Amino acid sequence: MMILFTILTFLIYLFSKKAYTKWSLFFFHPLLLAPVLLIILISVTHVSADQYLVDSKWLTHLLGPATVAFAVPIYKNLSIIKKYVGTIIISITSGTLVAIFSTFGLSKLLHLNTDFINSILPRSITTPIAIEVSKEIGGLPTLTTVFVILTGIIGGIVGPSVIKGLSIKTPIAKGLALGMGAHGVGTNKAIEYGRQEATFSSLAMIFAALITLIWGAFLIPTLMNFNIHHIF
Amino acid sequence: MKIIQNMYFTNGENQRTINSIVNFGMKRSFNSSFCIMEGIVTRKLGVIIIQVVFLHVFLFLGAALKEVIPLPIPASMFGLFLLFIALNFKIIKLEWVERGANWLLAELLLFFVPSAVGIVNYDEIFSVQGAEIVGLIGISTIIVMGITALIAEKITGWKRSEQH
Repeated sequence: MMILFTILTFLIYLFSKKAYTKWSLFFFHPLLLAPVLLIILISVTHVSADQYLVDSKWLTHLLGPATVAFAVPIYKNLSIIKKYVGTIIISITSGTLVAIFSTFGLSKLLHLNTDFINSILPRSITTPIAIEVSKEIGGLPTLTTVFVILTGIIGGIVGPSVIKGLSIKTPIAKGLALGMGAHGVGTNKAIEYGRQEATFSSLAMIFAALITLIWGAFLIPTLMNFNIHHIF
Repeated sequence: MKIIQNMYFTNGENQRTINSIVNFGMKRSFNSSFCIMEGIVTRKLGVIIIQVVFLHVFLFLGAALKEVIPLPIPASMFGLFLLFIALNFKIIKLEWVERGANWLLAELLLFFVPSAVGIVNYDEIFSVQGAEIVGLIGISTIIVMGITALIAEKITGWKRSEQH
């Protein structure tokens, strides 16, 4: 059973990826079509979601080595990083602050409970690190995973419109925006734009994760103690 | 053998590999070239698997480092630093990890699929509040991407005008 769901997930993912490459419609996105098909499959076969998660844990586990693997593009693009280090750090520091403050403000407007707010704050960074930040600030890791995935799917869909709408021209701005806004899914989208965009996007993702780790330790605890009701 | 060397020991694109397989096949009968192709595909998969397993060494070293350094940084992030240092100081060669790493990064979305299926465990997501949260994430993501892109574009513009 264990291997079966791993293989099925892989096959359905491949199908979804092929369909998305061919037709490029947002509902064929591998993070939308594949989970929907799998949810239908497990409900038809009466397998619980928890059972499915246990059976496919090898795939989730690969996020660990995949994070390690980001050392390869960083190493290969070291000269680009050195050249643009200022731009990257300023843009991503701003991006992470905007992500945290806008998410916090909107969460307060929606009167989300504290568990939800703590879980949603690290939503714009890559899953393994978002989970760490979530644990650190008192969120629920599984709920954080859901928000990170939602951010990825939504970011992958709205990203190209944002780039088009603001008529962003440079590869660095496109790449940093996609990686900052939608982590791995954004980086996946950036590959469609080109090599440079993909590089900057993966760099944005790594820097966003690192900088958010710092905010998680210092800024977010202060933010949570601050009574925002005086403003809203 | 030369073809296989060409495949594994250069950073050539896939197209080049395909070309060399095709050229090679033309000189051989259909049957033997098919066997060779099959062999190459198997070896390619083998290389990826071995390299992905090798990447775990850095994941474990990262986990060990996390025990020593009490910072709220995940083991995989420590692993990333360690692999980067190892590559930079030529402790390991790029070819030892490149194919495995490229595969992991190319199929990154696959590793999120099970967690996305896990959404069904959160009934709240499908309720009215779920729609509000999706809206929240959408608005916030548009602002984040917009501001990041505009700042990066502006800085690049200033840098360019300085150079001219």
